[in-house]
Amino acid sequence: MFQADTKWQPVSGTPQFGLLPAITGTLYVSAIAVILALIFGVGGALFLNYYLPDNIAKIFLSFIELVAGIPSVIFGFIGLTVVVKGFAKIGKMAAGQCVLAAGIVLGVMLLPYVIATCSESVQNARKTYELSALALGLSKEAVLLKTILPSIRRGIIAAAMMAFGRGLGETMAVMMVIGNSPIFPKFFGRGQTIPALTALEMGSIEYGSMHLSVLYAANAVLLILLFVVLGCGHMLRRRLDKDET
Amino acid sequence: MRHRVGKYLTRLACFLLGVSAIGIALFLFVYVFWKGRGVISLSFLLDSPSGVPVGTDGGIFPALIGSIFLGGLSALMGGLLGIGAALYLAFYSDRKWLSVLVNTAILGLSGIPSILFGLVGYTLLIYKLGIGRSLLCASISVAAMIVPFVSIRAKKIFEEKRRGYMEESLGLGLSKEYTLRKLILPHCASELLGTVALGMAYGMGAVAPILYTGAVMQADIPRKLTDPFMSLPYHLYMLVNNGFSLEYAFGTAFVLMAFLLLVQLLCKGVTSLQERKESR
Amino acid sequence: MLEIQNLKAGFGKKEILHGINLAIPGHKITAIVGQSGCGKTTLLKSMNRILEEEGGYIDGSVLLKGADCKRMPKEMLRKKIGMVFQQPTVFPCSIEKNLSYVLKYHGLRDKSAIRQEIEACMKKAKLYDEVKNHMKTPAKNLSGGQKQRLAIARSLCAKPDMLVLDEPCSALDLKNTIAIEKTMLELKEQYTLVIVTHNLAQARRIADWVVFMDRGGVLEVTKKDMFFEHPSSELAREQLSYI
Repeated sequence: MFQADTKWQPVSGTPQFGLLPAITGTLYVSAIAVILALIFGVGGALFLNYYLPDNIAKIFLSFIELVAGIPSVIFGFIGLTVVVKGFAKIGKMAAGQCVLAAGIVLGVMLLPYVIATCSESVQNARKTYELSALALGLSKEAVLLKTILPSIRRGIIAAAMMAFGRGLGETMAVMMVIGNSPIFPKFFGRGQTIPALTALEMGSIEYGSMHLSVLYAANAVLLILLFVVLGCGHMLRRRLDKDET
Repeated sequence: MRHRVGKYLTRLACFLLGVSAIGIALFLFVYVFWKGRGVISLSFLLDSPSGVPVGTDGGIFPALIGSIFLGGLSALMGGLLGIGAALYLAFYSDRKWLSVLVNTAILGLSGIPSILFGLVGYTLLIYKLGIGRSLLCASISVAAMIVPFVSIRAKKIFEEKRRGYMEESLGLGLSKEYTLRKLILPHCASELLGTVALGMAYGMGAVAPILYTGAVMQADIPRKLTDPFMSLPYHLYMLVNNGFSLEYAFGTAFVLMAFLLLVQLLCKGVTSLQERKESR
Repeated sequence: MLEIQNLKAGFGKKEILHGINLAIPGHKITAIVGQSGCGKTTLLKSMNRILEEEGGYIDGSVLLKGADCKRMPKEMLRKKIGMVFQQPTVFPCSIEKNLSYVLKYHGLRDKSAIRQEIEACMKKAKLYDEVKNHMKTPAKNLSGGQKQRLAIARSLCAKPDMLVLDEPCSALDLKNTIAIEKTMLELKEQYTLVIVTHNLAQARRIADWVVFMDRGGVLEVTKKDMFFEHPSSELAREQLSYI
């Protein structure tokens, strides 16, 4: 099931169930998404809490919080009509559905979460360090780079792990833009993730078949991954909360 | 000199990233509402879908009602269970192993991907118990997804604000149940309701758990629990995925998003009102 | 009034009280004094078994008027031994409701009876005159001292035999402290009072009996004058030399 040369051909004459493409695809998409979300999320959190007046920042923050309430099918829909279409136009790809598109859509979905948690860290760090650092004659930006960012590093890592965990399990949005080909994922090529695979195939499976068992096995792998990632993130968060009090 | 360049570069980077983050958020709303506005009419809201293939004409009324039914039912089940678990954890966790178990179960449940609720609901309810695709099965799957959402937030509400009241009240010789009924629950009622409503909005927007457990492309308004039903997000997914009608997809997305936004804003309004009342 | 025999209490594996024997006389003010961390509050909280609610354990026997507290229903015990906490917590409702909430639990339904009872308890706690014109306003608007007196009045609503107070004045200024002390001196006609305090001067002002504790044990139980003039233990002598 986990050999590299076994393909995913569940309904051919001699069915093959190679899960490796889907597992790597899941990790690949989530990784792209988390990197994107971190870049924009940390930058956004710094911008909101550092350069904007408090009341305006608050309005933007609660606005961004609303984005978290948008259902994933709408993200997938927008991704399909904007990102995928855009790729198709620029890249002259057949349809534009690819791993990168899924990463971008998922990254946008994770953005509100990253901004919210990082904002909290930035606010705490500012309260603790800013005045004493400014009093040393450092510029605002120097304080930001030399004091605030290093002090929230662990908070960012925790947020990244939680976001990664969320990304691993995302179904609809990813499924709509990734192309759903059970091949090894390439940046601009189609791919497949475990949740998308499950959503696509479970409707056509016979009860008690090997196919269904393999789907459950795939999700078991996903759950173990999630357990490790979210568990670590959770523990890190708890440690941070303890440090702060 | 080097210092100054670094300073402006940092500032520029922050501004660019921040503005684009806000811009993306803004774009999502504006895009859907702008593109969807053309389809919205009273008949779109109040008619059944028609046309060949289905959904390319007519309206989305059954989907709207189906979604509301689904949301209500799963909020009822998931909300009760979630608040119950939170009550136990906040006030009755006298046996240590059990409370650790419940707490871990809820945390674990909160990390499970939504599709797994669909998969397990599908194999367990549809195949094992043979209920058939129905509002009931879908609601149960969604309710299971809502439980941790409600429970974690409700526990926070109970713990942050009301622990002191319980001890004080017990010190007066009142029972736990009386304190919960007369003091703590009434005082938290609006916040709890808001939490359940948010959970409902979250559940109503999800497609993955209802994919094969109850949602269908065309159905009437469900009259029994065992009827299959239409749902807004599922309808949207089918329209997009099968490429039936992009125009109607935008309309459906408009309605779905507007509805969920309304619920969220209402909840936010109630919470901030409550906060203002308390800080006065 | 209250008899404590070989009381051991603590949390989990950590024992805080190591075998306490103590008798608390009726209609007197007994002050429990000692350094912080010596187990004063734990002793107080084992009297009405509120310690168990915080996850602690209680071993040994506590007899209230000869009846074993362990055999009594917790609610009954706590009704008889009213407790006032260090931090005054008022319930998030009006002043009147803070009291009627307790009365209703104990079965009082008649509206005029409730009003009378509230008035009586508030008068005993010396709060009535200050707030009688705005009984319907939220209790959280009261000052710290008023909140503490409201907490006392609320405990009186349960018709206790005993009132135990945990550092009731530690968060208050001098004026409010004196008001509370006066209240306590009047209350001892009707109730038995136990007060935990780290303030020896306060014990000297109001107590009849003094219980001196150290590291989870009782070093002395004496009449107040005895304690302040001829303390028998070395530690008490040392601490008294500072005031």
